[in-house]
Amino acid sequence: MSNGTSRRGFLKGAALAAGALGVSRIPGVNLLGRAEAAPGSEPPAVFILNLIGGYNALFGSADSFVGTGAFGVTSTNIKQVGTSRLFVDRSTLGTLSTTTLGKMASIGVDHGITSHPTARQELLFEGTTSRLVKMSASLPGTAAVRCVVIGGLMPVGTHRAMNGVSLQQVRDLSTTIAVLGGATAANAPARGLAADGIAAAEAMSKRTLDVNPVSGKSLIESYPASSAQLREATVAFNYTDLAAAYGVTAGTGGSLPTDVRNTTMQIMGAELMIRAGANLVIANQSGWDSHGDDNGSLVRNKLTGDGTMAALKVFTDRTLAMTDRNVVTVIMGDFSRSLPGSNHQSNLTATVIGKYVKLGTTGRVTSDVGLPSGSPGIQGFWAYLAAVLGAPNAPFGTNPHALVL
Amino acid sequence: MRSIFLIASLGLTACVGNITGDDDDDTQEPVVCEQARTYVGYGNKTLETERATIEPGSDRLRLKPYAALAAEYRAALGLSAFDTSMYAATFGRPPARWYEEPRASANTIYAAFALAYAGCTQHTASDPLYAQAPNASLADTICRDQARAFWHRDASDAEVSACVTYAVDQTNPADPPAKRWAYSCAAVLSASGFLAY
Repeated sequence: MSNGTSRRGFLKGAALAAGALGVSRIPGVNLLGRAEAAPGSEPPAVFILNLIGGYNALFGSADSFVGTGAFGVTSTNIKQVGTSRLFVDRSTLGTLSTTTLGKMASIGVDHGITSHPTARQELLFEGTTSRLVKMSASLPGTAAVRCVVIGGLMPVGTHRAMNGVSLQQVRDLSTTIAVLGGATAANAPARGLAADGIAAAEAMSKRTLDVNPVSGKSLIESYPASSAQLREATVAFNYTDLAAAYGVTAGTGGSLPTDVRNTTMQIMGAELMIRAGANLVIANQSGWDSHGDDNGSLVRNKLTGDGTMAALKVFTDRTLAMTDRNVVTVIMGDFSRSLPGSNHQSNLTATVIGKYVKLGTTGRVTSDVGLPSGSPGIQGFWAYLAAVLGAPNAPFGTNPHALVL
Repeated sequence: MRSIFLIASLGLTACVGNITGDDDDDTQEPVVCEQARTYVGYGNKTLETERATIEPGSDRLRLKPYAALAAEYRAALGLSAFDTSMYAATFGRPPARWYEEPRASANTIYAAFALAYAGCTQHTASDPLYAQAPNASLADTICRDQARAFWHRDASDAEVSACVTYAVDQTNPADPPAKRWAYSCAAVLSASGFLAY
């Protein structure tokens, strides 16, 4: 700022705010007891790691390729999870904790689509309705920012708000922390006054926004979310501890980074947003259209090389250990990769991890990456996610995957 | 109201309807341009088939890009320097030589308000105009003046009313007048009239 106050300054060194890591009070969620542990017993949240381009079935159906050696799969670089039928790639998913692997399922999605734009659209939309917003609106919670895309890459399409829930982008964690009452710059506005001021700005914008319902959509949805977030109870974070858990270190000058600029920051940011009351967080990662990756090395290296697997291990360890939340982790992409050539397969084997996920697979593919005849499609996939999240009233219909505890 | 009834030939396209300088007139006939050419796309589908007919001047709002904000705040508030870099990541500053269409979020709205408040604090600190606490009459004048300066148009009575209510009734009476005016100034600067074009 021109008065010399630096945003970096307030993040320097020590904790962002006093208080234990975690949420002293999660806005808008009812903390229910666990006497009858089942989906729906704890406030749910889902984190989706969306690999733009594709998600190779070698990760969640590794044994399918042992016989042919496709994608570089051998009998020694796969890992059977317990005694189940689920085999994963040893160097990637296989590095997750034993506890995490025991709460994992591969879910088959027979969508029949081989076009990137169509697959992305159909996976995230039910007609013109955003599945992301619909899922978030279906889950318990009243936090102002419940449905979040973390990082700079937005998902395709126009995700319209439903029942007061809109998809909100978070690109810098320090702003969220400041909005929720964490440490702020000395000249920052008071939260309550800022909430009223933003509401006044919204009122002053009404005439303009009324005649710009499409082009003004992000403003229309963001004014109320912003003022509502400022009216929520303060959330205590210990950003230093959170960063340390994910191996995020201070840069030049001793400041911890808050800019969501890589996958580690996306995944760490997802945990922060979930602790802040979000019930759906999606992180999009580009560069997964892995044509020609015949030995699977490109996608294996991509998943490990940029820290994605390490961050996922931390995230799943920490979220599965939350006794008062039901956090589900999803890894998905446009489709699996076909053979030969690692091109576009017309189905997907997604990975789902959560405390009410029953170890197993409905996504085991054949050696040529085919799913069993009659495998459910996209709606069934979302119905399954709703089931393991304990969403009331089956918002995506009946769950066809019998992998719920 | 000055209206011009058009049956004009503009190149190959004819348009029918009222073009008026008054945006508030809801009774005017929307301008409709007859397509003189069609374009066939994939699937033998004409590209203009699903083109929406909307009111002239509507749905063309665009947010100012991050790169423009510092100069915009400077010009609006008459400051010699203003640094927006603390919120660069929140706004999603694109890499050099790249452009990304800006999109608002709850965080960018907060960031805009926080930036505006910081700038307005400087703006109101030494101006004697802001030495008197907000009251309905003074707030009406200041809100109108600020809207004209920040939005480059006159505010409607409803917009002024929202500003006045905030300045008089919702800012903290215990705060110094200049601080209260800084908050109301920040609200005007956080409206779409300033953040978008």
